[in-house]
Amino acid sequence: MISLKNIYKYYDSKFQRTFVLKDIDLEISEGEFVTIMGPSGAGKSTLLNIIGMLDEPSEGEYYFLDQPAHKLNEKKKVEFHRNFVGFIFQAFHLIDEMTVYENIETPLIYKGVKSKERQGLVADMLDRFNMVAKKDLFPAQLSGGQQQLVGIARAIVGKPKLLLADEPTGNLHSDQGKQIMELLSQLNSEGITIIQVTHNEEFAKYSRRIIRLTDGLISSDNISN
Amino acid sequence: MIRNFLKTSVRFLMRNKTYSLLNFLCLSFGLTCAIIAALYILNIFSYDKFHKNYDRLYQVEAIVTFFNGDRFLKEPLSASLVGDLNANVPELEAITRVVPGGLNFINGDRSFTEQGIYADDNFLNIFSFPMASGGNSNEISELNTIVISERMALKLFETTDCIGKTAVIKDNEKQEAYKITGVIRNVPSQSLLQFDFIIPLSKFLAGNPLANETGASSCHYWALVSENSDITKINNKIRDLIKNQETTLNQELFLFPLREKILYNYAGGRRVWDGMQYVVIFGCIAFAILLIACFNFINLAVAMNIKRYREAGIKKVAGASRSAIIFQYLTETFVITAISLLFSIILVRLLIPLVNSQFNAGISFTIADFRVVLILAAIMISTGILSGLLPALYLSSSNPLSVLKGEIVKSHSYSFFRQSLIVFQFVIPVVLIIFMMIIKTQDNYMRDYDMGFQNDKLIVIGNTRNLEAHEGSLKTDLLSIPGIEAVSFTNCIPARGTTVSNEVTWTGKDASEKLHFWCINTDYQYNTAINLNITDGRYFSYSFPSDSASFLINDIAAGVFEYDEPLGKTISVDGKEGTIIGVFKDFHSVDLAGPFAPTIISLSPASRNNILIRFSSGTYSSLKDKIRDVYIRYEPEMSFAPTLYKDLPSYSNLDMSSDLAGTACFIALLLACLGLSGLASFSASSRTKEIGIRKTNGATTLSVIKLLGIGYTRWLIISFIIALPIAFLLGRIFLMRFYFHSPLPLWVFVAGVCITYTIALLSVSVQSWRAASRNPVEALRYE
Repeated sequence: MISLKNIYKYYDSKFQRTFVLKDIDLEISEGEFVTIMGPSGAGKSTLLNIIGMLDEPSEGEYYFLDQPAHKLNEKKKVEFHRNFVGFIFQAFHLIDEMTVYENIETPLIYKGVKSKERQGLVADMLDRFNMVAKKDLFPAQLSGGQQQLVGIARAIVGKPKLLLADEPTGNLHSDQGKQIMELLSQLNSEGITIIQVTHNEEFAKYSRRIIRLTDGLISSDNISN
Repeated sequence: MIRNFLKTSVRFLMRNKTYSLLNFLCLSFGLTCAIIAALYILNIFSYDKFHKNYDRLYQVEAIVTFFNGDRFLKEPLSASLVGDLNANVPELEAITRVVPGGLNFINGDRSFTEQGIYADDNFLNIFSFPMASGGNSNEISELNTIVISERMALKLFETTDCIGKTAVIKDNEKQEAYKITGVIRNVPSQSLLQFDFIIPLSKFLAGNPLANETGASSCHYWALVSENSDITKINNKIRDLIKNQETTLNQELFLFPLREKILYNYAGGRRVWDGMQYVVIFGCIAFAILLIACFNFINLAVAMNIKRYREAGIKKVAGASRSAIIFQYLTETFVITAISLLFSIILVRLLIPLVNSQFNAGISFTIADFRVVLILAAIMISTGILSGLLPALYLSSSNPLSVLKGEIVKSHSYSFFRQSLIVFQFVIPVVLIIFMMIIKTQDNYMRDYDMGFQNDKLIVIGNTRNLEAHEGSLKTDLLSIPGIEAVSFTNCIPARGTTVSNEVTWTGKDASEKLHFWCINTDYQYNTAINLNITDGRYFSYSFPSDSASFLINDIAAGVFEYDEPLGKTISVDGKEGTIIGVFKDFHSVDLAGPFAPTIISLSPASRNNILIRFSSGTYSSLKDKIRDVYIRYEPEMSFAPTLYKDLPSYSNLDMSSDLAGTACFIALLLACLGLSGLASFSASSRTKEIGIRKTNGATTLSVIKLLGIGYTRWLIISFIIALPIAFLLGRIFLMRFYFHSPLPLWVFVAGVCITYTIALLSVSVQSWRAASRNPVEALRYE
């Protein structure tokens, strides 16, 4: 599903070139649950952002579902975001001026889903995450764990093939973190490909494949059973 | 989708009340100004549109060439010209002559003075003033018939059903009855011609045989030009018609379109702005103010959007395209604009009476007029786009990557752009404030100008027939009041113009020349009343009986005559021959805007429409009552309305200009300061942490305020540097219009800058003080 070939990411300053990612080759197939680990500044988030097409590689080729993603124009990228990928963030990034319901609904609006259908899809999400009673609350009225649940609901309501999670549990205490991770592995078992970045060794164990990055290089790629 | 956008927008605005309120107020004021200006312009451009033949109506006017080559416009022409026009120019489908005049009507013991016109019987066919009752067009063909307006009918008879009734006109002791043959609807206020009654022109001509003389100034000519005719051709045909009648009359006829009458005038033979001047001034000022309001919006929005940058980033990740974000933001701007528009419509309604009384604008406002709706929509859309587009583009350029990583967006981005907006915003009020003070200076200069007499010791009252009839005893009675030094009947209030004649001849004059002279008709006391500066010879005196046929001339006239020794020389004025007995100088017969003009004084009772009363002791208010007692004795019919010379309205109407500049400057400054203080509050809050750290390190509140103030001072200084030359140039151009003008006052530049700077800094300091006086611990915890 995802195929990265010789991906480089660097920044040029006046006299030197700073590498963030060096010659990354990576294949991820559909249905995998991958964790990217590594020390701060190793390039984890950059790699995730390149996969999510929020960032562009400086060199190299990226194929998503056999399409050359590095050649997509702005419009195609918007389509990609709408149809194939969902994001979960460490800081949740809910829109403060929107209720829980409206936050979940947002991607559907941009996707152009009809109002009736939207209602159904959002209601399903609320049901699934036991948040029906909270649907008219604003993010500031929720606990961190609940906010992240809304974040996940928003990420998957559009039925993406790929879910990208950048330290989804970073701002949560461990009980809430565990809950979120269990939810993620459940989603994975339903068929969604998940790539997460985390510092937490324990939460990394929820995935079957752990990629370690050091200074922009893949230092290990372990697949466990 | 839009509903969702709106919901978030409204919530955001409710959460940031100061920001929303500021934006809302600024936009409302800006829109109010724009709407009023648009209504004013609309009003001017809708003059006379109700005439069916609007596009084909022209006034026939003459351009007269002056003694010094100056050319000026002459509207009233001889009544006899109509024959020539009809015979020579078949393109003129119809010609109607109009003479405006005021008459005194009586009904029982009530009397009314009404303004109306004498007109040819085809007047109502050419112009479209609809009849209320009556009906056929020959209502004004017979002598002693009259058509009156509904307003006047109600006044006279308390009913509009008055065909066949009789209106009585009282002229002195003489009374004359007119049969009412028609009632017209009230003349709309947007009509150049204003009148309440029409009397046949033949009636006027019967009473004024001189009106038919070749050079006479009696009738206004209006012509209906046949369709598709070439105006240039007609102008060529009519140009020399007057010269052909009498070669010595240096007058050229031309057609002045009705649709341009309200906008343009002629001066020096060239078309100049008349109403157009105010259209442009109102338009520019309103546009500038609206621009300030929009810039405020942009500035605040860009500053505020730092908070919303994240929202835009999230939406992008959720699949929003750039255009969707722009669209959402524009929708939001339109919501604010629409609310402001509603509020400003209320403001406009409240302000219109004030504007009308202050600027004599005659504006009306109904939402029912589709043009008004169109204007409102246009103003709203352009304002929305102007103020919303930039922040929207900025917002939509949000890079989700940096936002989502939690990077704080630098408030420095776009800060140069924002600060240049501030510079622009302050240029306008500074220029206006200085310009207003220059106008005021010139106004005071003209009021205090040394005319040779004390301007607060000269009383002007209007002359009437009754007063004229009792000239001798009136003067004796007035002079017996202690303090009153001189009473003079005249047609010339100094610097307010007088009768102009071209019938002046002198020895050595080129017979073909028709030069113009300002002719003052007055009595034996004029020189005492205005303290005439006689340099040679003497003034009229009772001891010389021959003086009734003598003249005084000023040095300019002597120059025109080329007399080195003018005393004793003979000249003739309007056919009256006489000797020059004195020469005076430094006398302004025309407004200070113009130069000294060649002037001749003679003892003549003709057209002396003013009485000048000079007093030496006592106050105006105490003398007023005593003069009134005398006045009522000789003039029981008219009301007593004296004016001190100092308080006479000036020709140039500088009051209105300076009021307009003052109002505009006030609003502009208010808006600019609102915007600045909003920005200051924002930047102070974004520097909370910095201020906290500075204070924990020993900075005082005052030093923090200073620190915050310095940033703004730099930009204010730049706007002063831009504004000063503009104001200087405008001021010079303005003063150059006046032949006699005050030197360009330099202190107003200093004052303008100081005032603006102080106000701007004050508005900033309130916000800075709030930020600086906070407990630093609180500030740091807040971060």
